Amino acid sequence: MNPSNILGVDVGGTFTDLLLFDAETKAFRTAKVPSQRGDESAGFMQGIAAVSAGREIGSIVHGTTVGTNSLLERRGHKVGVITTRGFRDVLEMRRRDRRRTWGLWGDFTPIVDRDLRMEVNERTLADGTIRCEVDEAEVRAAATALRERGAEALAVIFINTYANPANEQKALAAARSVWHNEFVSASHQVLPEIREFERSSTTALNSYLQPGVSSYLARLEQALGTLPFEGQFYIVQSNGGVMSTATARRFPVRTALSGPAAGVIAAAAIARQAGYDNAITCDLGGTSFDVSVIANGRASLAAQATIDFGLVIRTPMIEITTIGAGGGSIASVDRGGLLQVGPESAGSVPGPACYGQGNERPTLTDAHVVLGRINAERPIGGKLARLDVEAAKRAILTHAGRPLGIDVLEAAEAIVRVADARMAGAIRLVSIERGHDPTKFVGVPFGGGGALHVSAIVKEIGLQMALVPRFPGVTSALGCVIADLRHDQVQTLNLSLDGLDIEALDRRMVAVGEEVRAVVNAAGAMVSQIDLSFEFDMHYVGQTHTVAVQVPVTLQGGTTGISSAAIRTAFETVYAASFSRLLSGLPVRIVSLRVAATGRRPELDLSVFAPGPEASVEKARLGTRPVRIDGAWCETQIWSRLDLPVGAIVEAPAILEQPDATIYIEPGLRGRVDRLGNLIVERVPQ
Amino acid sequence: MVSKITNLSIGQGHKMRLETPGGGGFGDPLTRHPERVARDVRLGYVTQASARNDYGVVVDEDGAIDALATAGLRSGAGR
Repeated sequence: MNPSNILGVDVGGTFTDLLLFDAETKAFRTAKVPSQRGDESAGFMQGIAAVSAGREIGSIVHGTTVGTNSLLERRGHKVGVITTRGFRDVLEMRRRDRRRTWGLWGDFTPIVDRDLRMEVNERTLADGTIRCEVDEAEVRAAATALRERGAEALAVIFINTYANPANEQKALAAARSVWHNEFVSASHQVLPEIREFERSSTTALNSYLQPGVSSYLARLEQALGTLPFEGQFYIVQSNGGVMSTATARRFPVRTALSGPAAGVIAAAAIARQAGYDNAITCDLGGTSFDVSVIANGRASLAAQATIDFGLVIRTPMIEITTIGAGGGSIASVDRGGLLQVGPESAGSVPGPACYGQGNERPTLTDAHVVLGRINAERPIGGKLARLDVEAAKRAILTHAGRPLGIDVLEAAEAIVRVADARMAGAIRLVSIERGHDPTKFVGVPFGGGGALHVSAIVKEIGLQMALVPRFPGVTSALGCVIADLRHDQVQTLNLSLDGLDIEALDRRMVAVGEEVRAVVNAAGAMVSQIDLSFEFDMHYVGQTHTVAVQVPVTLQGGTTGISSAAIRTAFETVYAASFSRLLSGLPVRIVSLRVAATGRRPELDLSVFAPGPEASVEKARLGTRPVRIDGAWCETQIWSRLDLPVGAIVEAPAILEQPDATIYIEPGLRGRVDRLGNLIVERVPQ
Repeated sequence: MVSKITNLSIGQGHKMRLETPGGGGFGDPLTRHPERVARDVRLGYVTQASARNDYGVVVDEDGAIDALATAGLRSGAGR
């Protein structure tokens, strides 16, 4: 085993991407294999076989969509909930939000049916006092009943347990004594934070995912056991940090956005090293288009996310906006006669019509093939020898051309235009509509198909430029390789800043700090240092919403050195920045404490990916082929992207091909290879 | 509509209990599909007694529908 050898594995809905990187020799290998839906571990192992025999690998870091898909497709396991008498319907009432404003019928189905939610007598007050002790025999009876009704995981969710978990701990032990498996958890473990619905929802969803994610990880570990692999195995979390598989089993809900988060982390690093601190990352895969904003070099983290209507997960997550438009998205004409692309997708099986595997409806990829933008003789992914252009044409003509009364080429161009518009809309949503000026951002398109739309993204949004990473198809796998280790913990405190017992607060901060640091430490020894960050959720007395206030302290010699004055200054700075004023005279409260431990990994110098001295413009020139541009065939220069040297300039129109992606440069733009081997797509200088 | 009670002041140690009805229904309860009524009983939204008296659906202790008794109730009762 070679500890400096890290393997990143990103299992997406369509492809599994791998990157094996040796931090010492700077050698790397990449691979792309089709994902196997339902048996993701098979694709995972095939991918590993493609890059290594296993012995040399020091650690494997995995970005997974198993949790995401279970949530979106409601394929989690049957959960039983034991809760405080009177609180059976918290999961159902939510925050009185509705999916649709009008109509007589609600259509929300909670992930736990009502007959699997049972109440027991107990009461913990908001100040932590136990008004009514829990009766363990009653809990055992409820757990037994839930088990008999078929529940495969159990969640104990009592109210106010963030203030005092004693009743919940007792109930947890009682439930465990009669439960048939390891999947029993309590809300104070998953999220000891105020607000009943968010804590209930996060805890229930954690249980919902636990059996599936655990058995998936067990299958992977078993399969890895057949290799001569002796290293560590990690999972990427929704916050872009990495955790051990032991933590992933306890908190599977933290994997909800694992795969997409890895891509954002990598795209941020690529943009930063290329000299751009403001970027919009655009991941176009087979089924979806995921957009995220990097401002001042940092990915934006949201405190919670709604995975689907009513499915709220409260844990720090990278903010990602997803629309159902990918290479496999199906084009159709709706009842109103309008052309639509997505959200239905043909995935990788059966895949686009040009794959010839049984799908006869046109996809975005089929349109690119018909327009000559994707090379039918050299499809990405490596499974097929060639693509069936005639099948793609048939599909487009039947399902888009004829219904719209246009020919196959016009229909193909229309499909691409609709997809471009949908992608532009998603980017507008995260940039212009949130007050960011797009001219100050660079687009970073990646994933198998992002680079085909790079020109449209630059032109339609008015971005400064776009930067296509050297290996766009394995960006998420690169994110796995470079992501830091991270563990977050929240604890609701409910303290008044006036008359604060600062020593007691310091003791709590030290305790939580040491706890999270221990989790990162236990994950293994591949970090250079562990940083602790302390943040308070604070507000003025009487307010509901809080602001996140980072306090500039660290844990050293058994104390954080926190002071009331430092907290007040930090709060007032953040509050004034958010609301342009202070409410002087009103008492200030600390609602919750958030601690994050980050195990820093050595920064990977991306210049290792840059083209070597053997690259040359002559070598990169592959000849020409007709490409359909603005309604006419145009003989277009084709380039071998990876053979272009640093500094090379590519005039439009041009197609750049590489094993994991195709880049299309429209007239009016040009391509330029930067010192890291990224392709900068920019407007032609006047 | 005017509230029945407003500005009710309660002192320390007093308890107040507020009970609200469920939302209004739409359509004739006797035409709701018996399977749906049985599901409402299983999930605890409707009691066994209410299923019989209001919806004309006879559900036994195990949640199974007594089709014969239900048909009898729905053809004659409550009209």
